[in-house]
Amino acid sequence: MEALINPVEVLTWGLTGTFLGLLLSWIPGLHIFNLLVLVFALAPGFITSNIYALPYFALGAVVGFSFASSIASTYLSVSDESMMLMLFPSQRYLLAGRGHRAVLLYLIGALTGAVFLAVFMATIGVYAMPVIYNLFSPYYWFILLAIIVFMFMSEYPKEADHGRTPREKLWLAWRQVLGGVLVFFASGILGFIASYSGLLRIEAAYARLTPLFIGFFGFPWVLRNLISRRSIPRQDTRDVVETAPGAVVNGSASGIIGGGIAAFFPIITGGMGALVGGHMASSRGDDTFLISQGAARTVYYTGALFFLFHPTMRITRGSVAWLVGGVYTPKTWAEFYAGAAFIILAAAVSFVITLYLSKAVARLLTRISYVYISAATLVFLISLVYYLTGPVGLVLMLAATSVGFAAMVFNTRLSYCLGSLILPVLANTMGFAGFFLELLGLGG
Amino acid sequence: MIEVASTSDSREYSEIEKYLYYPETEERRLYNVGFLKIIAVALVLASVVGVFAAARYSPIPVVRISDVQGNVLMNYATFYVEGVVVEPPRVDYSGGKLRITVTVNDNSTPVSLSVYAYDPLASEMIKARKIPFIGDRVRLLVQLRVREDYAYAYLQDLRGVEILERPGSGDGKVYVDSLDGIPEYSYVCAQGLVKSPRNVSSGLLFDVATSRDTVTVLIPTIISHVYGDDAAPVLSAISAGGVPVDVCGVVYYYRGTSPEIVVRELEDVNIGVVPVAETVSFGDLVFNTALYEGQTVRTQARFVGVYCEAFDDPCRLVFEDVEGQGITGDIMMPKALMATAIDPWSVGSGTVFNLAVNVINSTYMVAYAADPVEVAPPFETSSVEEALSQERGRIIVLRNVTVSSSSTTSGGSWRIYVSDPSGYNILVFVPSTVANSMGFEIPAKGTYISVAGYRHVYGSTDEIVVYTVNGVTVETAPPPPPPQPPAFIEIDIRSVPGYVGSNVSFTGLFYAIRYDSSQRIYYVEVRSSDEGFSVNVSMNRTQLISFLDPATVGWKSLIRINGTVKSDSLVEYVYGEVVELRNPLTVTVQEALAQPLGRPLVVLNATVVGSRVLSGNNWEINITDPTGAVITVFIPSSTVSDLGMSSPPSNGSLVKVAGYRDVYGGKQEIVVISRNGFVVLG
Repeated sequence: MEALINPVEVLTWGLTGTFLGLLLSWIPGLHIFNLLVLVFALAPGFITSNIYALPYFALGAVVGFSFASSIASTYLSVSDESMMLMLFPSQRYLLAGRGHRAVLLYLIGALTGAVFLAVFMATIGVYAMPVIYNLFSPYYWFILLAIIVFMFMSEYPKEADHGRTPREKLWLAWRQVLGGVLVFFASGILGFIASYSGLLRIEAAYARLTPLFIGFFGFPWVLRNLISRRSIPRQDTRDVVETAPGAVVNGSASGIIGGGIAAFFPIITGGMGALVGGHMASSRGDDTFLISQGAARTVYYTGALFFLFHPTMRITRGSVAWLVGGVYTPKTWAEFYAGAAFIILAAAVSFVITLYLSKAVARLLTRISYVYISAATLVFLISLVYYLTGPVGLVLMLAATSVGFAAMVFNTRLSYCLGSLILPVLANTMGFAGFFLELLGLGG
Repeated sequence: MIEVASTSDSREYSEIEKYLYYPETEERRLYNVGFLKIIAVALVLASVVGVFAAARYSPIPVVRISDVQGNVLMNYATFYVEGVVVEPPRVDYSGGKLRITVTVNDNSTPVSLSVYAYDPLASEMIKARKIPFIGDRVRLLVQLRVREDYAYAYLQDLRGVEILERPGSGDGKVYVDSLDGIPEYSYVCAQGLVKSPRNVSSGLLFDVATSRDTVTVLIPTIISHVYGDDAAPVLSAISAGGVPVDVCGVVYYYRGTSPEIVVRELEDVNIGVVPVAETVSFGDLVFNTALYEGQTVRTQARFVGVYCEAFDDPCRLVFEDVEGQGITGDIMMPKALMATAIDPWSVGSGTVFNLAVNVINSTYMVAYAADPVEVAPPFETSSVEEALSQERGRIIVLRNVTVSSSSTTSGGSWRIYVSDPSGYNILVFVPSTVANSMGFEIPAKGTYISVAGYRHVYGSTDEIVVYTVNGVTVETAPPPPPPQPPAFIEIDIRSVPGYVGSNVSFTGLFYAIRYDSSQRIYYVEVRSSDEGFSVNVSMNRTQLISFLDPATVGWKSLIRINGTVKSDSLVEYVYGEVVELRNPLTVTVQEALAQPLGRPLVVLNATVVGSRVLSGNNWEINITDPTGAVITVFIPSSTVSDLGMSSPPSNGSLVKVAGYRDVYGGKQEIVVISRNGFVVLG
């Protein structure tokens, strides 16, 4: 079957996307989807000039993002939806002056995950994935519900020992969990409103969740930094890591499992998948954790988009895949295999560039105040939301910020904010969408 | 700045502790976040409530389909689409879930929008019977999905389905007998007989033979889902075919060209409704068919025979009046009705039926219903020879014969040659439409079977056509031994009166042919050699034309008759032979007019000057020749069907006629009884 695109265009467009992803992904709170949406909105002509190359552009951007976002999460301490723990080991590394090592561990996991993804999908995945898809597709809602329950249950009641009376102990034990429940349902309501009401103009439908996600993940980080006024110690930027082969294997396996689950099942994100993967692989240790994070995020983001390339499976996972699939969906095996090969190339390029970016950012942050960077990010995020969704989007963003802030304050998982996605989908799948819509007075 | 609350037991860290825990950083401040939690909860509640209030009063827009097609930035947009449902709703299973698909067009673009409703919403819609149907003007609240080359949408909630207008609601029933020119989405009704039911991907498709035309009707699959078990008997009755039906629905042009009525509700289908019809006599119906064109009438008639090819549907049946006036007429009957009304094992030629008939036009009538009033048994025999002698069209049961060879055609029809010990064999033809439902394999050679069907001649092949699924039974017992042929006493023709009741054999001259229409039997006058004594030999048409075809056996040929003496002057033919053949008497038209009645003769090179087709497909052709005289050639329908001509030859055609002289209603005729008796020469 003849490919619709030639190798030169694959490389050109793909690497362009990779560089764009690397260039902008260090901005905290910014999802690669938002970046692509910005490109779509600002340069539609660029997108439609070669629709066959667009998937590779997106693939490169996603790979670049999944590598370079480690910089934001390490140096700028952003906790987006794929970071599910409250005390990030990367933060500890940063404060110990070893932020670059955290990035390097992450990149090891990311590279491993990318190579595994490409090799697996190009070999066993060709036959196995359609079968797995058919097996699981009738049970998505059940799996999603199970993972949500697991997320709540795994946040077992804590802090009871700090109470002085039984009632206080009970309250302290459940305070965090209840905070998570509040965050989950509050974000779910916001998700219903963003998706099913006429609040946002329909021309901004593709970016309906952008104000929410920026409000959940980006804004609270900015506000926290502005309040805390933290400074970063000098960083050791040598390319050394302290780990063991076993930890690399364990971390990679954990991340690949978690990222694979997140990529395959709809709505389940990297953080949720990594939670499951971490428990399945029984990961221990900060280095293992960081490696698993790299693998999980790369497999999740890249794998979700790469499913679009599979000619016989044709499932669309993730907002980036929906965006790309709305313009052009790869149809041939040649395009599929070209994509698999390109993933490895993009991963290699991203690994090297991210490494140098990490060093540059490490030096930059010791010279420039966190506060200035946070303020600049704040302005950028507000401008982005306003440009994409208008003043109503800003209102939604502020509402989401309060929810994200509550998650931080209650020390609960920020990934509960994904209730904005999960609750509407789960309700729809289980048949309660009408109930919620009627309850909220929407949709009729 | 948030108030800093130090712990009561705060102390200075030692340098080592600082280095270990917080190298190169300042000591962290401790925050009391209890107050922050209260603030957070308050903010969450206030903002969510505020956004919720704003959302409730934000109207969801109505969007044109043209604005969303191909617009990837509108992906996941929630909006109202308002338009007309342009296809029947489809129901299927996708990803293991029940799915209803509604296709809407708002005239903003030629491309319609497919809207899907998955379970549990699909089941809710079915339960609430709130399903947008073809022709409905609807407003649907949908969420869009934009793919590379098409867009579709999902219905979210039952409240988001509004049927604004539905064709036909409240209007009276408008009956049509053809969908030509009927606008799409009109609500119409049709009445007629179900034919050609078939299952298609979208439901049960069938035709309704109305008084003027055929109307295609679709009962979509969604009806089964909505009505469940209540729909089963209706669908089953229609699937059997041949039932009268009164059906209403919305007109839909399949693929833009083929109109059909799509049933919307089960209540719109009524089975077994025979319209109120006037009762007329069969003779009146036959002679004045044009007067009843477009109407449904009831009549009573006697079944004569089946005269259609094996695959014809409907089939041409010949009936005659019950008053004995000899009036015959053709009535078409769907095979499904024929199979139920005329069980060949029990109902034979001569049965009187009450018929409900749709008069399509002056030459085409279709039976709606047929109820037997006086049942005449079919002709039954175990002799293949007797079966062969039966007239074409008659219902016949042939018992306990042996399969001498059998084969299945490429189309799935069965061709079974059966024979009996006498050595005669006949073809039993089972069309594929019947064979496929037989429930057993084609009987192999040597099998004993009994068959019931109608006598037919295909080309030059005598056959019995089986038209019911019970028409072939495999017998387990061997057939009884054949009866011994009777001994024929050889006598002189003049001695016949002395042998009443005996089987005799005599010779005589082939003199004349007469036909008794009441008995449907031919009488051949055989005279003694001196032409002074005559007897009549009774035989049926098949026997006559196989023995004494006027085209080949001439007047005064010497023949031997073997038969049973019935009376002084009547012998019932068993078999015979031509002893001394004489050429047929060849005459001019003028000479033919002078010939006595019954004389077998041939007219050569006559010219057709006029013709007409009478009711029952009997032909009357006027011929002349250079003598200038004109005589009528009467070809009964039984012979017409053997001629292989669809219509009489045109004026000016040169023909050869062989038959016998007769007169009917004062008109001098030559009656042609065999296919060799009328040949177009040029």
